[in-house]
Amino acid sequence: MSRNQRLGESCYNDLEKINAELFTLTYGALVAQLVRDMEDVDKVNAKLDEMGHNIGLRLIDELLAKSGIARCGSFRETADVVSKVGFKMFLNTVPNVDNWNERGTECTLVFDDNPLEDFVALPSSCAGLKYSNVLCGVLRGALESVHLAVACEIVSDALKGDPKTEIRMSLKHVIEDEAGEDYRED
Amino acid sequence: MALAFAVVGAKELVYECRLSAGSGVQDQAHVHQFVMHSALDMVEERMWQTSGMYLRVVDEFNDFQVHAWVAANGAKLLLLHKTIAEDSGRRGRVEEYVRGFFEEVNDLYTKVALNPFYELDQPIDSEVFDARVRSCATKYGL
Repeated sequence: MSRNQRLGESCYNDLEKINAELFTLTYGALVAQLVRDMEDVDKVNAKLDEMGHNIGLRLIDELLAKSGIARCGSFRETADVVSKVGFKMFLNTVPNVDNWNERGTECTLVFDDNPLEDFVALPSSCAGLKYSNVLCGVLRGALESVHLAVACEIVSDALKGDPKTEIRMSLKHVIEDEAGEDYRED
Repeated sequence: MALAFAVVGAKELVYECRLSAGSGVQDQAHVHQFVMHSALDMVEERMWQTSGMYLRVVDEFNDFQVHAWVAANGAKLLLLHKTIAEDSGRRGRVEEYVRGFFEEVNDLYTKVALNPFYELDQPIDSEVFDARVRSCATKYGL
């Protein structure tokens, strides 16, 4: 067991738990309501991503506070922490990090088990819906807070007949520390 | 021999399927439907007399019997069956097969009801559900 795996386990054990089915059904009700309200699946996808972004911005604080993790040296290390500590803590699932590109800036998170998608069967009218898009937003928001600008996309979806749900995560650039606009000298 | 299976929600029929063609008489389908629907009153009465979900045979009409099961949300699962004579010795066994069938179909129905995109009391148009109900019926030799 690697260090991050142990850390993820111990953080998970310390956190307060809620019933998984309650969580899954609450998320399901949320998505179904969005689909009813907005009627356009592309808008729903964007909304889920935005909601996830807001969640991510907050969750990262929880993760850093509870795990006491140190600065990551590389994006590979970050991805490892995201999977083994982040997902373990909040969803009790550990996606596999796979398919790295040569430069080590892009990888795929492969979910053997995605608690968000239990019980769900997409109706034919929602073929374009990215049901778990909230996760992409969470990743984007959380990593943005630690100065990593990433783009995330669901590239395969178990709900649409693919064997597993996969999220492609690519590092765009590292956000430089800089003074706010008010403090900048002309 | 089971002839038809139906799920009735709070207000309307949400699913039905014919299990065997019977004697090949096409126009019997509406009789089946009629018998099952007329059994609903009996189901409503019987469901309050027991805490169990399986109500066994609730109604008989000519050579048809209707078995019923009430799901946790009040949906009624009905199975139409050719009457088996009381003294044939098979009756008790068939009741247990029907119980097994209902237990599995109840699980299937619960899964459908848990799907956030399924609205309660709307027709179930899932092919997967249909196929699974049929395979359950075959499995229990109904």
